[in-house]
Amino acid sequence: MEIKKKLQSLHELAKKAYSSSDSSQALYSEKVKYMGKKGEISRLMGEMKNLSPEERPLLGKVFNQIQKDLDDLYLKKQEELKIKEVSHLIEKETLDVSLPGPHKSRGALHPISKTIDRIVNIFSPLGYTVRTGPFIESDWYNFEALNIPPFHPSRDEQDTFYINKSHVLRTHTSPVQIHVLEREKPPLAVLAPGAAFRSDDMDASHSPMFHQVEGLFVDKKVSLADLKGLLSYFLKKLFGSHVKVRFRPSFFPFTEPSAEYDVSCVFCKGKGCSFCKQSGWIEVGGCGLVHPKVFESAKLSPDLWQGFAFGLGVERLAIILYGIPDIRLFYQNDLRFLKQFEAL
Amino acid sequence: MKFSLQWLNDFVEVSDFLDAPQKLSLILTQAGLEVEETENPSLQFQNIIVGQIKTLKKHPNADRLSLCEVEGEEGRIRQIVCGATNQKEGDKVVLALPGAVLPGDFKIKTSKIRGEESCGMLVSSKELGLEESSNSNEKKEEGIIILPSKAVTGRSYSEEMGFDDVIFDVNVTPNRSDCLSHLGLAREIGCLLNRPLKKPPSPSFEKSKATTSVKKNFNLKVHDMTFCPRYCGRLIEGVTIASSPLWLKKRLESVGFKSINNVVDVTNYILMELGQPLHGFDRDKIRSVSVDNSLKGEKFTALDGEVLTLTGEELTIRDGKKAIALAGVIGGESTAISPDTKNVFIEAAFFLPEKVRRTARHFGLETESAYRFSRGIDESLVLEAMKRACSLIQKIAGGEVSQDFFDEYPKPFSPSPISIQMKDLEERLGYKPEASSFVKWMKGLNCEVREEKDVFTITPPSFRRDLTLKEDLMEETARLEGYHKVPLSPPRGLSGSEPLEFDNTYKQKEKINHVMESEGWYQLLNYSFGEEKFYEEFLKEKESLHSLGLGFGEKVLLQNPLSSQLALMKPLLAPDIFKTLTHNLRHNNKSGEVFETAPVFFKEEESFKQKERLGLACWGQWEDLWSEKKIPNLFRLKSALEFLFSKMNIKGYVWDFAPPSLSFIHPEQMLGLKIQGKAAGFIGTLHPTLKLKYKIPLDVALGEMPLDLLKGSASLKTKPLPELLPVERDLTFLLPTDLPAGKIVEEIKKLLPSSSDSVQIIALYKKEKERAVSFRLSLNPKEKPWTDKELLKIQDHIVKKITTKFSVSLK
Repeated sequence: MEIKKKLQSLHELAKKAYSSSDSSQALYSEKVKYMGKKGEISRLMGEMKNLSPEERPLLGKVFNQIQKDLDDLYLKKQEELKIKEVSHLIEKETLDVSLPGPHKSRGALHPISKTIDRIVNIFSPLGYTVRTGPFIESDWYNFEALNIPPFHPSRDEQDTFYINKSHVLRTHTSPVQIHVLEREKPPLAVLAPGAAFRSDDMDASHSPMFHQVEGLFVDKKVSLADLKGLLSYFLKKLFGSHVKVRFRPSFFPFTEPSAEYDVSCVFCKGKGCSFCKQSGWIEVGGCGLVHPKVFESAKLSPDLWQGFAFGLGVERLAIILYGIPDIRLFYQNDLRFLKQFEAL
Repeated sequence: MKFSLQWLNDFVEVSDFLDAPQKLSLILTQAGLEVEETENPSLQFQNIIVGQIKTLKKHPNADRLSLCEVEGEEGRIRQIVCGATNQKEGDKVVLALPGAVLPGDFKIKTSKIRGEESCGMLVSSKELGLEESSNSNEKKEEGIIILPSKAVTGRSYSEEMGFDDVIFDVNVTPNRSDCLSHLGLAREIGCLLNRPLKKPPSPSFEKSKATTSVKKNFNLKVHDMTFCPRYCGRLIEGVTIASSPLWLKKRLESVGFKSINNVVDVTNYILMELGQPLHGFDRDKIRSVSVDNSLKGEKFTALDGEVLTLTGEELTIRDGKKAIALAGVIGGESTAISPDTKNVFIEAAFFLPEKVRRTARHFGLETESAYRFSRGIDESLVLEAMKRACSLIQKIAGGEVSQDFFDEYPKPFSPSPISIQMKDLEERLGYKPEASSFVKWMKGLNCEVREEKDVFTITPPSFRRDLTLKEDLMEETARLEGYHKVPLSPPRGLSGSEPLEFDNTYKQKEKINHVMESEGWYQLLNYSFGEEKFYEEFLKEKESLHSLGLGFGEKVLLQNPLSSQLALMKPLLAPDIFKTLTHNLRHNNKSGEVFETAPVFFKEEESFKQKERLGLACWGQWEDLWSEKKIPNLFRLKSALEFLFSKMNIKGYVWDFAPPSLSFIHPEQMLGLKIQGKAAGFIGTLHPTLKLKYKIPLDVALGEMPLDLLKGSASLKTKPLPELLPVERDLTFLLPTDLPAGKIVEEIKKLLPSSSDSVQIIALYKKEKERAVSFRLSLNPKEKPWTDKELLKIQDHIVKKITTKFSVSLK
């Protein structure tokens, strides 16, 4: 059979051509050359009609074998070439990986917000929840209800911004104590973070607007030991368990007994430095047991309820926590400053 | 208040703290009398010693100078060149050695003067800073100090003069007015250290020959004893006004007073010693004395020459119809002690604290006297203090003290007793103090203690008017025992009751702050007040702001602002955020994304409103390798807000493409915001005129919205995932430039077959008068895949509607 021989030699030629192809494109054109519709093998098969009916199936069988063999070879070779080509391509696809990624703005909370968050997060597992109050307060809430009658000398200590005869910018967050005691039924454990105002001229350590966190706890029986325990816990959580905490007697008209509390200086470890004015201690805030007059102001009976209250200076804590040299930086909103607080 | 240790030592033994002032500081601070500073005034006399002139010669090269050989410490002889002429051989003088620093930062060193070596300097009292503060009338010739011959050669000058002292600056809290005197603090120290008080010298008077009587001389009338519960007065005749002796000057100067003259100095001395303010009138300038309210509108010239117009509220000391002093605050010029004064009327009184404070505050006269009266003085000590003053004046300035004196004191003060039990102390302090130590402390405070069964009845002394409740006694006990004795309980919070909720506003603000932070924005913090004039530039369109949901009522101004720049409570956040921008541009922060959650303030219907707001700004553009396309900042701001709305779960917000215009926002580049149909602020590009005025070279976008509308839904519900994938179809329309593409988006949304379908703008090509805008529709098949026919039908419907409604064509 002439045709069978031809077929077999084409098979051999195609095999060689496939094997020697050096690119998938060349391989494909060889496939077209031999096996395409108009390819040489296909054309030869076209001549099958000239064969006898007995010969046809035999040749068909041979053809099928050849076709299968070449298809397998093609796939195998194609795989081989693709891999080769990809590895070739990889060499060309160099990328300067030292380049930076596209800029993404990081964002940051203001250090005052961050500090308030930290404070709230220490107290909230104990059941303390946040309350707020207005910045413009009546004389009653800011002073009188807190046992600071008109012309009381302790008003001298709080240089007050007046709105009119009866209203002031709150000089502390303590008026929130009264709002809470009026609105809610004890027992209570609340925090009141927020701004307060005193007519202090701006300098490195004074600002006419500043922030406090007020704390108030009211229950049937509350002692000075409870207050000391809570604030010591708080300060150790905030500054680390190594700090020492000291309570000193002080005076606030709305607490009795009253105290100020200090932590051992975190900069010099209590040895004395310029930050703590050589005292080894940093003043953090004031506190005390709720004065009976405060309960009376809110129409609660001091015979039934006892409590403690405390105040924290947020700027001061932020200054200590983040090593900020000047209180004015908080209110300048310079991005060079704000960007330093990107870390959560 | 400043305290001198030497002075305290007059009343209680504290000389052991001269070398260890920190010990006493700590004791006082722990007892609630915070020592803010200690200072040893003798330190300024370091390297200044007593010297003796051994030989005195003329300077060989200068007529006016002399050469002295001066013996100093351990017999050492130094040559000193001296310009003074009042010294002679053998004189004891004051020698400043090299290393000494005289007032005015004048450092002494060895030097050559006209060829002769001078190893130090012989000094005058002016050079030591002793003369300047005295107001001596006798003009002494300039000369060096000649010390008494008994001065010890070689000794340090401060030791020789007894200048060794420690000055304690104590922060006395308003409740402890009893400690505003050396006697008071000494009493406290005595109690704390369990040391007895030394008996102060009792006032003694030289027997006067004359029978001067104040009562025969004067009429005294106190019109209202409620404002002036006690008034004492006495006359001293024939005094000689002169400068005070050195010991008196030094004591006063050491605690911060200026020496004036002997009589005035004594009154100040008694004030600092006993805490009783006194006033001396020139007797010959007054005819009678009465205590009464001022007359409305009357003029009064104070000691310092200032003319005050009185309101009728002040308590005054009056001579007939004329006010001669503001009671407890300041004396009058016309009756003040002058160098020619011969006869003095001394006043010691107890004026009502509130009354004095009101007057002092009103006129801004925070005098030492007003300070003490407004905190309350010991009214039982008034007479004693006056007697001591008179005796001291007589001793120093001579004269005769009147035999009699006024003491108007119809209702002597008697402190109310307080009942307390040990169990009260135990309950509130958290530990149980010993009853015996409680009694010891109460007695130490000069309280009267009575014990009956378990109840202690404590009567405080007259000088502790702050002790009225048992809580006050608890504090006293805890304070004197030491706060360190109070144990630490485990941290207490709410237990056994339902936990409470956080304040909603706080929660919402906290959430917004955190979302904006995570979006890469920086939080600002501005003062709540600012400059009215500057704000006005932003507040011109009150109506527009109102219809944007940012309305405000009457302005709220501070009555006593620090400056006009900090006077108006801000009615809008945008101005201060704008200021932040200009500050940052000045500091080369060329791009930024900032936000603030803060309140604004105004007055409405006679009440003050405080409304929380979110304000934002972004400017410039980050320039780096990858930034090719400049995105207008308005869109950065818009996308940040949409990010926020999505995080807050705020649905149903709509941008208004034609909002009312604002003076500070570019009218062509502004969007209003509506949430649930309510006006909710704006965003926009900064107005070009403002950019021009403030020389801002960059693109800036600003926005502000009321916080109460930025409340999203708390519920988050999922939908099942569709089984079939959506098909996308793109449509490109040619739009005139003044037709917002957003309107087409809105319209297409309405025409989409299902609410889950969506449309977005994917491309925009600008031509001259129109823009080609491509919209991509995403269409979700319902039960079976879309057929081409169905898709074509939807597409045709949309195209037809859009082209007819907006008169635009499909590209």
